[in-house]
Amino acid sequence: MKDYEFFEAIMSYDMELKHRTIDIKGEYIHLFFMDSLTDADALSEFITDNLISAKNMPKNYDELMETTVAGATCELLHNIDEIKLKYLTGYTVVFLDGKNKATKPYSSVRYYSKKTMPVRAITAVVVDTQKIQTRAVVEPPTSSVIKGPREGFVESFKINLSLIRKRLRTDAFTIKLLEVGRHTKTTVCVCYLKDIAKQKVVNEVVKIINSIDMDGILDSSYVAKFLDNRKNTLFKMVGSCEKPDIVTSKLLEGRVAVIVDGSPIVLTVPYLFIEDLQAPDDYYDAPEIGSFLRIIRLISVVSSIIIPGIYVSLQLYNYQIIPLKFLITIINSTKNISLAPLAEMILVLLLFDLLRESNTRMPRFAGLSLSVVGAVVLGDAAVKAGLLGAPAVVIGAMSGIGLYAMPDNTVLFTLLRLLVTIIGGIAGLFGIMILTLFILSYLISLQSFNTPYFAPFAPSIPHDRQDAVIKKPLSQMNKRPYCLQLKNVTRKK
Amino acid sequence: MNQSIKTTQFALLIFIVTMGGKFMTLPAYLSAFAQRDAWLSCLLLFAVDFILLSFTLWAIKLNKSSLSLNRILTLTVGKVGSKIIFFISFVFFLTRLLCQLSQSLELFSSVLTISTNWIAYTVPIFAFAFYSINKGFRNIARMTELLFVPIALAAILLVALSFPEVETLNLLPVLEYGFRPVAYSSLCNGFWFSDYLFLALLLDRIQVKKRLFLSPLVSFGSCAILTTALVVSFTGIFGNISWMQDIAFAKISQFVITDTSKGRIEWIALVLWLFSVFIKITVTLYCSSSSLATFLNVKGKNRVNYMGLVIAALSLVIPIIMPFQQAVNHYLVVGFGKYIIYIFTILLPLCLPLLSFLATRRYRRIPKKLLCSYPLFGNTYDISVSTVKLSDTVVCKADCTAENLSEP
Repeated sequence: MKDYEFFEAIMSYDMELKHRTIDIKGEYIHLFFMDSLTDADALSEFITDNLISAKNMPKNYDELMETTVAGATCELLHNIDEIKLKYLTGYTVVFLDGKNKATKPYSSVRYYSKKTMPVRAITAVVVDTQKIQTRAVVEPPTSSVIKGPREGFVESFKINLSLIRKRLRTDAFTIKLLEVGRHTKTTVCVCYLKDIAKQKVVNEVVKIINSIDMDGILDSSYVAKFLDNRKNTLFKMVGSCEKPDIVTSKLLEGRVAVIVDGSPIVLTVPYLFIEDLQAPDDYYDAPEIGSFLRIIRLISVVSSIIIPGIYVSLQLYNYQIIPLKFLITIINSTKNISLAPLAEMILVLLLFDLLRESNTRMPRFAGLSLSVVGAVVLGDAAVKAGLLGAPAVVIGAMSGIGLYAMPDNTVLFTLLRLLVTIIGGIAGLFGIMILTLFILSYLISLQSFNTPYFAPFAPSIPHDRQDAVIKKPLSQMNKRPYCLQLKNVTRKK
Repeated sequence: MNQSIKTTQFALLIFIVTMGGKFMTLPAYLSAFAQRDAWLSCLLLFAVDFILLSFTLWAIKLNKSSLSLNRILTLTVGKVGSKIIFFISFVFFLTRLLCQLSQSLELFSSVLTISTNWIAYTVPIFAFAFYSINKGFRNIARMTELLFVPIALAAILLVALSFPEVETLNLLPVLEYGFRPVAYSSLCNGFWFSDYLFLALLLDRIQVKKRLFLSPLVSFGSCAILTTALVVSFTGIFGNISWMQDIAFAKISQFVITDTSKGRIEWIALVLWLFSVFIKITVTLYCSSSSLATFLNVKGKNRVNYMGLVIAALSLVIPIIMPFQQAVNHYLVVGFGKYIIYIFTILLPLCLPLLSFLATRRYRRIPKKLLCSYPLFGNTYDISVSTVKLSDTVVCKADCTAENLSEP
């Protein structure tokens, strides 16, 4: 059995297998490709046109690669598993079937497949004719900016890598290509700057990704779950970015990026809490504006989490703290409400979450009108009907909007808010204080790849606060963050 | 896991732990003996503490081999002496823990008008304390870095808000009855001080770096100024009836805000300041658990946690079965018990530099080949080394090979 016959036989289950034979002066070249994944233009441009116009049959595979398919990315393979994998990813497999001995396979060599079954050795050239279906590089919906680059990642890892590569024209930019997923064989790319990043972190990331034994990796979030070095943690320990300029800046800070084929989200580690506060605009605006926006974000998130709980607690136990005029307004608004303050607030918060969730899931054309109906009509009707008090609705709405200052963690903060509200209703300010201490203690204990999650606040690293809440001008940021323990901390001389 | 703490961290910890206990009943206790000169008594006690803290810091500096307090005491005063000191330490910290819990409950009940019982109040605090201790002492130290600014600002605000109500006449004349009441007040109320003593139990965990003295002493000094200012305002507001006002803040806050349209803003400061009380309770629980574990020679990774459970159980039961606060006042403030406590709070810090120096010198003479710890099954095995001439039996961490391994 000839090599191409053998290949055809083992791939016979694949209904998409296409076999073309090209005759060159009585000798044959066999092409195998998958119809759906092969780019017809590339196939004709790089292979068939050249072969048809060739005057002589290539003497061997090396000559074939050097002359006929020289314009394309090609590779000579002898392992059936590798040839199959290339075929399944859209490559065209080329077999020579000539009279010359060199074009015949050397079947005396036996190779072993991954399943350790002896298989026949076959030789073929695989030519890259992949048809890459991808959308255009557009601004990502979750990271839109007023100033600054508008490019966003897409689902193709090659394009994503090129978007980073074009910003980092240095030989220090290093990538490690890994393959994960028993069935999906997803390409995972670990990128870092070798003269800056901590090698221990790189090795750990590679080790974790290599240890993933799963049937399929469909998105970077799958890899993120494994990179989280703590199980069952609510707070994410792995950063996610949709913009190449952000990933590039993180690489320049000494972090490690992980690109997963098929995902428009690139992961970065180590990840710190302050990264949630940072937005791309902060770096393209004046530092004072960036600092102001960060303070606003911090205040809005913290107050969104605790204000419903504090409101319930004050209403139930410590109403004396509220200034008299406010207190009178609240009493007037809530005197006819039949629900207890805790139940009332929980109802408002759940109603807001229900609206948010349904607005995300419902068709876009209906979303806006239904959310207006939900928020205005339902809220107003509930207040007029005496089901909810106006202050509770206002606080619930304020809190709900404030959570979006850190959009990546909205659901987590929603849960925390609910917990704080319940504890505030049961144990008052005392309960909220104890819960706050629990949360802080938990956050402080977290580590992302041996980097304290709450740095530079706890542990306090004064130098690293240059890019925390109050941002220094870029011209004064001479050193990279100390908390990452990098090889080279000098950013600017 | 490396659980060492930095100079800045323990400096902030000194501030928060000192602040956590001083703003509750101390002004009233000081006024009971010194009356309008309570602030002088407060200042005197802080001055003594300042000196003793300096001695403790000196001991930390001399402890170049990072020996634990137990190791230092065993190498210098022997096992029995070490056990006695750790027992006193356990009693001291347990009593302080119970006092802090009961005083803070009283504060909550009177200021935040939360009617609750002892168990419902203490269980959540212990839950937090256990959680923090379980995460390691470094976690507690890091938390102080995060909470220092709000706590300090809250304390300053609380003191500042009370000052406008001070009647200067209530403070004058100074030393009307001489220095004797001030001295007696200081002698009796020494139990409420010496907050920095947790450092002695963390001798082996402190990273000795530059400015070892400066940051902790500045931190302690600023706390002393704030507390003395509070005592001044407290005595200035209440005059001769100061001693009857048990919880200082609860009483002061009645005078602080006259315009109700602004709300009780001092409560916000009070709530922030209360974080220091919870951190202090956590540190005190850690110290008492650690002392008990050393006294009972309990080994293992979770020894502090297990002893913490015992102390939590004791803390829940003791105030229910006996009038605890009165007993403390009777035995430890007025009675003879205070002199026993002073062995730990005054004598130990005074002697600690010398003990630390001697222990380090003796420790260094132990053959180096034996000086390595060998973690096995989660424990570090201690082996008696008979080859050392300086003392009959020196307990040290030694290399546990298969030949010389023996269960302690």
